[in-house]
Amino acid sequence: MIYEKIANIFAEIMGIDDQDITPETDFSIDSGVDKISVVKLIIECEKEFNITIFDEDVHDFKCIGDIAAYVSTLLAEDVTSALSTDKEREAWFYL
Amino acid sequence: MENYQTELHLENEHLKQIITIAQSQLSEARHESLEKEASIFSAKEELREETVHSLANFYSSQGFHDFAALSQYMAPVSDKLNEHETLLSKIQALEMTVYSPYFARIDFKFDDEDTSEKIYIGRTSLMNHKSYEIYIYDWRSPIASMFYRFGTGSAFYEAPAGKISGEINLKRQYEISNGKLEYFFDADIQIVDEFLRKMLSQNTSPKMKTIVETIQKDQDIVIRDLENDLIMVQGSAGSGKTSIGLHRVAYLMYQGLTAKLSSNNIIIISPNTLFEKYIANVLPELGEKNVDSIIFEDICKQLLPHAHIQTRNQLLENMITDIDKNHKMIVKNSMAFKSSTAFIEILNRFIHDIPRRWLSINDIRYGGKLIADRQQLKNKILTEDKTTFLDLRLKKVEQIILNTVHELRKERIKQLEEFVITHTDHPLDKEEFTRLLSIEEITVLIKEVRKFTHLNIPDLYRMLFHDKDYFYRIAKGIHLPDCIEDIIDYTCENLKGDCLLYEDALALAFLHLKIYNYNDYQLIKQVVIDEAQDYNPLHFAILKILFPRARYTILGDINQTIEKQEDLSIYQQISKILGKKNAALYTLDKSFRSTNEILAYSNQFISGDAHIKSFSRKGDIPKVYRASSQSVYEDMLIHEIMICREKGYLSIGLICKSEKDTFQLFAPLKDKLDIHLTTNDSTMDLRGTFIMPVYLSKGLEFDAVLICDTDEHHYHTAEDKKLLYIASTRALHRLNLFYMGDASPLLENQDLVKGGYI
Repeated sequence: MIYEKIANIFAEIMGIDDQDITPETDFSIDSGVDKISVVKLIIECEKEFNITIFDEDVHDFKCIGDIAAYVSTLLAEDVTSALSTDKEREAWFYL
Repeated sequence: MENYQTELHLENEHLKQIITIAQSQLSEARHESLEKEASIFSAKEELREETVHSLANFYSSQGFHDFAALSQYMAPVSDKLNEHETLLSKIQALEMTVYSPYFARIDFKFDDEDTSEKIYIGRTSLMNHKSYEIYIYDWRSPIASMFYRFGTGSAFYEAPAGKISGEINLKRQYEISNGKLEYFFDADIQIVDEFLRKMLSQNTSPKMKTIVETIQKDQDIVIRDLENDLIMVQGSAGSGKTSIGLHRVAYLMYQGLTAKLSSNNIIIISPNTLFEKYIANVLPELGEKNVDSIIFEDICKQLLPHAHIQTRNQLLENMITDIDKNHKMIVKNSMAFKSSTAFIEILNRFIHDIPRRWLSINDIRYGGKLIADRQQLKNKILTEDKTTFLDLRLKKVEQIILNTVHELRKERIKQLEEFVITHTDHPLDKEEFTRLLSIEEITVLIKEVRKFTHLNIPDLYRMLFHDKDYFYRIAKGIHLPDCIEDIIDYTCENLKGDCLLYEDALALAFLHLKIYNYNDYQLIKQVVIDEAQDYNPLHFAILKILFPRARYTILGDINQTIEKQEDLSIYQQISKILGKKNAALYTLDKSFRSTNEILAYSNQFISGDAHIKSFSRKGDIPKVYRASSQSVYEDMLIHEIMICREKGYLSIGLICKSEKDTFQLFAPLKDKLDIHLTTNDSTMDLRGTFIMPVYLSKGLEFDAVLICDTDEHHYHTAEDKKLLYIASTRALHRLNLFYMGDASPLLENQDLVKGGYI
């Protein structure tokens, strides 16, 4: 779900079909993505998921998948801390 | 005879009774398992229904609050899953019991009773769950230990409540398969020799087998030792070291039931993947879940995921085939030195020196303001608690800097926004442009910070060797080998390339473990190490950090080293490095693998008087065959293989010195008969004819062995002698040696058969 939402936001910013976006879609000038579009994506993600993306982490984002992973990690930290045992986490995983 | 018939009748009746009981317990368990599966299914359904609404918006902040509620429904599901798992292993055990419920019986008269009790011993126990009557005792139970330790007569065992004594009136062994009693016999010595001889004269099986029926007294002592946290076993080839290691694991799991020791808490360090596959069946046959096994190189790969590392087999192959004597010496000395205790001390001093000398710390500025001063940062890192991992200390400093940045950022954003408004023509996108400027500014900053908070271990390691003066300063007072200059040059040269030497990978792994907080193996409570003579101090230093809370079982044979020499002091060294309070060294010097003749022949290859004792079993005397030409040589080998096959030997091993030699011999042979080239990745089914280098044959066994190329050129050094020892002790029933040209001077017994079969 996280990835799809991010892909949607990015498609809108870039004015392209979200079907053309994959987790590997990269943020290079060669792919026609300029820096300001990435910044827009960052700002929109912060609003959508109600999180803070630190400026020092942004240079690690090379593609859509990287942002999805970053956001998932931030959200998952909240989730897994609510599960007290390994077994519960395991059960949750296989649900 | 009449007596035997009566007894046979009684035993058959008893067996029938036991199997009926086991069968009824089995069908009960199967029924219960089906019910459990159904209830797990419905619990999952319920969980889904109750929680589906919260799943939909799970990854939002509101979803988070539903989470506590969600986990309430989860607990019953995971409990049920646990119960089901236990039930499944019970079913497995019962299936085994129905097939072959027990293998031995002792009649034991407790001192305070008048009649003796029949104690049946099997791979797992069987009891009446209502009356708690025990029909079969697990071979690992305290009372069963008497079967392995005593003949008929007075005996005792250690029960949880203390020592219990009595008298054994009968010892009986059974062969039961598929629910049928094949035969039984009574024995008054320890596991009767005839029975053992019968088991041993069988051909090898494709996988290692269990030995519960034939465990010997001294082996049993090792298996059941719970007092020591470091157990070392010096066992000669064929003494059953590996079997004992695995049976000990099974015993520990049985003992650990109450202490919650499970298969996750045990790890086996095996010498290579071939060996790993060979032993994979033993624990499941003993009714235990298989435990993880890992080869040492995989540990290095885990720690250094991006490195390209020379494998141990490549290193051995290089050493064995190197023709340049000087170069070979350097390769060998480099390996020996860089995995020695002296080098461990150098590495420790180096780690200590890293924050003082090797961090390129700079002043850190943000928005034109100095937020962290170079000298202050350095002092901070140096004065932090030195017992904390260096990496954590550096991460902490990085976080302090970032916290300052985060505090100042609000103010800075305002400045940047003003700049965007006044100096650019993007008033519409001012938020985005401001953010972009902020990201770029902080990116520069964080890169500057990470220059010293993110360590590049390979680069640092290079620095250790780069400047010889520095190296000698660090190594001051430590005894260095004579050829240290050569070793440093050799190391420097190699570190320029893209493939790490095996020993450099070890050193890097050690540095990693000392600098980063790595706790993937914190749960491990028992470590079993096989072929310990292959490892050096640095290996053990790495294991000590990886498994800080573990107890160790270490099995080895100082006579089976490859390209190095060891003596009994290796065990003292291991004990010192691992630093365990209670350590014990056991010696097993009786070989159960080979015939008398093969053992007698192998003994010529070990120095000193530590000759292996044999368990008397007869066979042919090994012969050395000389061929006059390549074609005669090949014919001789083929002829010998044919003889072995006619004799019904299922596994035949041709052992060469190196992989190179193996390839060379395999090429002409492969078209003439069915023969498998064995490399490290081969799937292991030891049935058929195999050709392999000697270092891969370690730990394996074959019905018949042909040692190839035993000429002067291939085998002449003290190290080569050890290789011949390893190769010849692989054979169970038949061993012969073949060569062309001049015979190796290491073959004492020069009674050669010239011309061979022709």
